[in-house]
Amino acid sequence: MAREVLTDIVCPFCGSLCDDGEIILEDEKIVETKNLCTIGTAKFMSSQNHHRITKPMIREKGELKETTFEKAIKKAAEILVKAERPLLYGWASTECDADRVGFELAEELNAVIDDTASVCHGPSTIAVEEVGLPGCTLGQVKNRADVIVYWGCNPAHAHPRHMARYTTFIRGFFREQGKKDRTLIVVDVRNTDTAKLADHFLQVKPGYDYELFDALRAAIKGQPIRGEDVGGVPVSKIQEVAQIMKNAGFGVIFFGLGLTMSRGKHRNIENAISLTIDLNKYAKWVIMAMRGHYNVAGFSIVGCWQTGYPFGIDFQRGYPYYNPGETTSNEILQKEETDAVLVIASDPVSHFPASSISYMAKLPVIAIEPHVNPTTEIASVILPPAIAGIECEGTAYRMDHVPIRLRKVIDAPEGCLPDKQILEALLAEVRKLKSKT
Amino acid sequence: MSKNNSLKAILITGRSLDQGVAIETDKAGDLFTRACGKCLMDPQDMKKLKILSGDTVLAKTSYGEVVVRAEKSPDAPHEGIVFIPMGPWANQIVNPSTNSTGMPSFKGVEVTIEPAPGKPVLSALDIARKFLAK
Repeated sequence: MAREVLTDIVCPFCGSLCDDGEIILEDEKIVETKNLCTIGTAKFMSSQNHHRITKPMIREKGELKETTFEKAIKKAAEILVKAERPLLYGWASTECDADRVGFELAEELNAVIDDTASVCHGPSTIAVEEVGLPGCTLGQVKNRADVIVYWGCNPAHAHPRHMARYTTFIRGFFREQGKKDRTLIVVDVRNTDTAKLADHFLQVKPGYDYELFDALRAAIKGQPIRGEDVGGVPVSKIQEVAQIMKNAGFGVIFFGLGLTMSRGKHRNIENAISLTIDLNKYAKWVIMAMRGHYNVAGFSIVGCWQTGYPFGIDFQRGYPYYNPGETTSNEILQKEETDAVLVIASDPVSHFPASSISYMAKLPVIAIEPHVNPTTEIASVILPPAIAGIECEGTAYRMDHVPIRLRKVIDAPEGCLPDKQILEALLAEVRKLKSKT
Repeated sequence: MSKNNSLKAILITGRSLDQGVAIETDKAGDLFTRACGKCLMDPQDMKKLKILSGDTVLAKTSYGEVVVRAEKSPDAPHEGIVFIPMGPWANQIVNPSTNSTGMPSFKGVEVTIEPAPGKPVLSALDIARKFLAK
């Protein structure tokens, strides 16, 4: 039995992009992982599972039937060329070169291209456009941070190694004792597994984050706070935490979807960033979004490099146009403003509200997707790819916008090409069809 | 607040470790249903409804309804707040309004929970097929 240990493997699950994974192969099959979290392990192991789609499929008379790659590409291109305003959605769980071809395809089709940031940190991006972003890399957090705030996020579940690798428990150059040198503050509506580890836990009522930011900003400036509590958090606790924040050597606020999905949305993030800016009058403070998908940051980077815009980009006018709320996927679906959808590296049928999917299910849907999932269940065409970071290389951007090269660990099932090559074939077919009309 | 054996609460949806493992392992299988077709509740709220972990409940909002399995929350106390992990079950009842930001309101939705003995929890693929059938 041929056994091989691959080291320094990058995990293509969450925005932490842990790059110290070990993959153990036996006879070119993954049999074990080391250093990865349970979710990362699941991703590597499931690449070989029975529910993997290995052949392209086209829906005929309501049934999905296996077909050839060429026929599936032709069918997908016909759908997209025929559509007046196709929506190209997903992109966050594939690598940057595939995203780059996606933008070329969007331009060729006068399509809307949008990624999962739309339902994750899109509001954070809007806030950053309003007030800027005092940021840093995770390496600086590891080596310098002595006060760490997790607000509206639960890394113990969503980014399982974040605290151990970058922020809380790890020993840093200036934080030699790890956790003993750091203070952990958690703000959440539930006493989550992250909150249980906190030195200070502020249990805020749902929808009151904005008020709590305001109260902290007032406390930091020495201004009075009326009442006994703000959003369910006692004023005395707010004053105590404000003092800890003012006295930090290097503080960092990590924030999650508890802010972007709740009442206030981008305004919550604006206030979080404004708090960070205020704190810099007293101490060094930075702020960072807890990006979910491993390359959701990379899509924005590619989008800004290609078009000037980070997500929800509309090529209907023949040039890129960006207006979240108008050019973002859920509004487009709910207002029935698209007539075909290409989904890549994502599962909107699982993760969009029912009213968006009710309309999407009426449209021709092309899914570039390796596994059976609710989106493939309603798809008209399925193109199964090689999985980036497991079966092919590529570049992804970590949540702090550091680019990291993904590694190939095993071969993809026969005939499954990388997303980039599938998109290139689709683009070529689209151009061919358009030249005939 | 309990009325006619129903509970008014605020719905929060989001990630969990089990949800992450399930979506990366097999969305077509039972693991996904067990990880996300559930509603984590404060034990006091469960007492009010006279339900135990594992009982099925109907979660209703202005936007839809879904049957999920109730479970005692490990993150209590949070009376009046229920948590359904992100996924097709939660998304049948979240508020689709984006306030022109692109982002639907996945958290902070008013919900009513009532016992639903004997009602089945659909699989993710069953939920998807229901859209096709419409």
